Amino acid sequence: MHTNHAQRGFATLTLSVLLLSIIILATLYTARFKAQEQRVMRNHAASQEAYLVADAALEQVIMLIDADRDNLTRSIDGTIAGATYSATTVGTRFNDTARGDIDLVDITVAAQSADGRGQRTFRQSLAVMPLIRSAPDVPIAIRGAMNVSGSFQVVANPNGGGDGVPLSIWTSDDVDINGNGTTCGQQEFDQGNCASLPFSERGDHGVDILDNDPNFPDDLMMYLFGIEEANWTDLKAMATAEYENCDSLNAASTGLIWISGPCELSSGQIGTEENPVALVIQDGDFRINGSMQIFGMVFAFRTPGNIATYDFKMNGGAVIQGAVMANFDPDLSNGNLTARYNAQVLQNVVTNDAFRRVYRVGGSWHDF
Amino acid sequence: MTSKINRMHGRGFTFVELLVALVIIAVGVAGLVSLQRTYLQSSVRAAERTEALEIAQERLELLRFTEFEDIASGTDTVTRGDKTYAVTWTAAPQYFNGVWLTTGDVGLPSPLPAQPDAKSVAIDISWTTRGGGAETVAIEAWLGSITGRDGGLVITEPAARSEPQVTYNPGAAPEVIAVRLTDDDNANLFQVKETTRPTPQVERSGDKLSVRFDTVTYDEATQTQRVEDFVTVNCSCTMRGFGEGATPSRLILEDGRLTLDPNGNQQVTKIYGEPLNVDQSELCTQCCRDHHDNSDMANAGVVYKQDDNRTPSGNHRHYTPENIFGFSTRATVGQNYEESCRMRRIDGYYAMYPDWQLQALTVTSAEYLINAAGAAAYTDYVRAVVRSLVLGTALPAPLSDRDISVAPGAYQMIGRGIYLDTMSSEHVQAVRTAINNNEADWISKVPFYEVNLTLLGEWAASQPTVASVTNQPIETIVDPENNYYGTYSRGRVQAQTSGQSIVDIDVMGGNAGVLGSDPLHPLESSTAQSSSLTVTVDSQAGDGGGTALFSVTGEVNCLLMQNGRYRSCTNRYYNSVSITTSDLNISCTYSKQGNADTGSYSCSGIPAGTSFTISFSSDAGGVFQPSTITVSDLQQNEQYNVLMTVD
Repeated sequence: MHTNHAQRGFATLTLSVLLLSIIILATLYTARFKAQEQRVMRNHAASQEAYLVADAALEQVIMLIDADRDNLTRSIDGTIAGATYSATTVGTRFNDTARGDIDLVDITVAAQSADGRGQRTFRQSLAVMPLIRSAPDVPIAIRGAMNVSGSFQVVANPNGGGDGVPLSIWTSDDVDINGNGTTCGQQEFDQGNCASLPFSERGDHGVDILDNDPNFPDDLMMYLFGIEEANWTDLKAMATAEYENCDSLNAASTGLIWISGPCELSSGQIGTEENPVALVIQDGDFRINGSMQIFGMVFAFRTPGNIATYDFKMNGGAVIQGAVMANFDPDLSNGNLTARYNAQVLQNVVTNDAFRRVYRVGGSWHDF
Repeated sequence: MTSKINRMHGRGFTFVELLVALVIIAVGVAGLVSLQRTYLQSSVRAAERTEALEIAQERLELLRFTEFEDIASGTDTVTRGDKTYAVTWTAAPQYFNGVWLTTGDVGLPSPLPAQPDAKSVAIDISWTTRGGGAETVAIEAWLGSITGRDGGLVITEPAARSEPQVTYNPGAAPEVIAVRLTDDDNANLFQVKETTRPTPQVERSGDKLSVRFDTVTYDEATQTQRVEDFVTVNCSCTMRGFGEGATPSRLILEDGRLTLDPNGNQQVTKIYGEPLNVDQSELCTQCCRDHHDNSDMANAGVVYKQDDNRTPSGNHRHYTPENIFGFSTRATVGQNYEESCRMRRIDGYYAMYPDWQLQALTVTSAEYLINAAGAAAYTDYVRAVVRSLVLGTALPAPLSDRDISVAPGAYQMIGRGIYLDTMSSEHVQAVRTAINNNEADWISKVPFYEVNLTLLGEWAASQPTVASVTNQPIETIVDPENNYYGTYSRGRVQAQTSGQSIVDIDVMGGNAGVLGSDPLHPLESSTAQSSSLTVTVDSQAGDGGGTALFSVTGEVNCLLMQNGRYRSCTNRYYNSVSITTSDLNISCTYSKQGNADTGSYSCSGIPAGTSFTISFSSDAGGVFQPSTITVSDLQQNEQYNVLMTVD
């Protein structure tokens, strides 16, 4: 009887423990499942974090490339919000493309989440392209006619029309030299013999003046910048600086400078041989009255559809070291100017950092 | 007993048993429930965090599609399911100035650019948990000022850049002879080489000359061209000793094409000189300094002057001016010497080139070269000369049909020289291979120059009374009082009366020939060339015994008024001259060779006793003095000069 009782109690206990064990087992299983889920969640979060870090890192690296456009192959390490990343960039040069000599930069960014669990690798290509497709071929190019009655000197591009073929003026209409103007070679100019040993002078046009050229570009902006005149706002958006007039320009000015208004200059200097300017004067008069010396390129630009007439005058011994272009008829009466094709200046206008822009290559981003 | 037990069994568990079992299970289940609660909570939290990160990412995407300048701080709330998340983003400008700097940092660029290089955006997502606790997820994003839409230029190809195409207008015979650089008469694609602009110009002062001309090589098909702008100068220099000087530039053969030697125009140590005075061409600074060789240059075969008797330093010989003709005294350091240099314009500036080397000389009448058959025979001759020079064989015989028979009158003769630059042995071998392989355009690989030397050679006639030839000094000054109009005449035969006269042109070798000057070096006189032709004059109409024939000839001079002074006219005015006669049976010709040649007219072979007038006109505004020449009862050769003035 006693034994029976004891046996019955034991059975109850056994059953309870059994039941408890089953519950514990079920719970443990759930726990394992939940832990797994937690791990998945944590990894997902870490991956998301790494993604965001890689994304921020890529932006930083792009701007670092932009800050030094000459040094395109390098390794960059950094931190974003406590997470580390390392990036490598490889620059490849492509010469003589439709947009000039361009560099393609392949960026690889490997980023980690702060805890080091998540890792992401982003790749993106950048193009570093010159604003100006190629140095202008001539010191003076005008879409229109050119009638000069003052005294001027134009110093030819020694290879403007081919190897050793000098070119000084290129226009779509007539060139009429009435004053004491001459065009000459670089050596003659340097030695002060531009007037006595000219290529062209009044009544005697040499081969260095290419006027009435049916092949003159319809669109000078396309010729210079590879952007259609109609899309001139795109170019404006890329300007280093925008001003209403030319008053704040000086020798320290460099880059693409957009003047939306009249540009009146008297004396002094704009740009230097090492750091020249590319001035775009949009829908405004361009007048130099004095010994102003400009290193770089001046482009007097009348926006499409605009039929207003603007002055384009250079008097008083103005010197342009580089090139002058206009997409309308300039008024060069009584002008006294020197336009010298300066190959060094025009090379710098194409290759200097201030004239190169970094672009993302569309479709090049990938995260593998 | 069995039934008792069964009864006992059927009675169930005792209360105590049940209680114990319940306690055990309750303890276990209580623990499990709290465990499950934790599980649930953390699950929810993890889901919320993931949700928050996704919201942050969405915010980032929105910011990425915001114009860079419009990216600014802001707040928002987002509801996901029954949960509301507060989104706060704070944008800070970042300037890169060696390191990344933001507002308030030391070393920010000054002045601060309108837009920073990048913007860092701290995105905070906060929400309240079920239990009332505050949760936050913070991420840091960066956005560069180079936005994605800038990339349009990368994927759009601009229209082709139209570059200026300078069409070359080939020069006209007899002044300029175009040599086709192919042996194939039927070739469609070939290059043509011609030397144009032979315009000797006397420098502003002194007796120093500089002679400029261009050698143009152009592609018949594409009109692309290469211009070699040569200037040859003579200078008086002083020898200075050892110093820095440039080696010559030259053309070498690369990839089957003639290209400038990239190793040319290098500074090396050698003897150098200085101009004796400033009263000569600016080019003399280069000429005096650089026109010397050293042993390295001599060994490499890249020298200014070929010389078989070099100085110990490897230099070629230079001579003092007083002994030039005897070549007896060599100039040493400190002494003055006479120099001549050939230079070519490279990238706008004249660079030193090796001296000219005359290889052959030919005199013909202008008529001969104007005639297509004559021009073709001459260019064939040029190619044959260059071929034998390359192959090292004997030069071909001069053209045999150049002699002329003329009536009294003025006739321009033309002297043309063939020059060849020294080529390296590999270069010569490459050309020989091309010849052996029957490559029609082998000659395009040879740096040869065919030059009009009419105004530079020394002319002489054996019987001046029968036919004289002009040989005026090379003088281009303008002095109307003394009959100087900036031009001079050479090689113009004045046929007078029946008989024969041998007309001869002599040209010095080297630079002296191109400068029309005395030789400065023994090699320049030893490599001199001459060429002659016979002029037969017949001053009787018919086969002798007919009416006597005479001529009316003269010079056409031109002066251009500029800045209150007269200067010589440019070719435009000379080319505007037209001459008419009152007698249709009399024709007058007009001749003008290049800038420096004196214009002339000739009404030749006019029967004796003729009376007529000659009228001059210009369509470029020139006024003639006289504008009409009246000839009555012509009984001798007559000469009338006219002067055209342009105001």
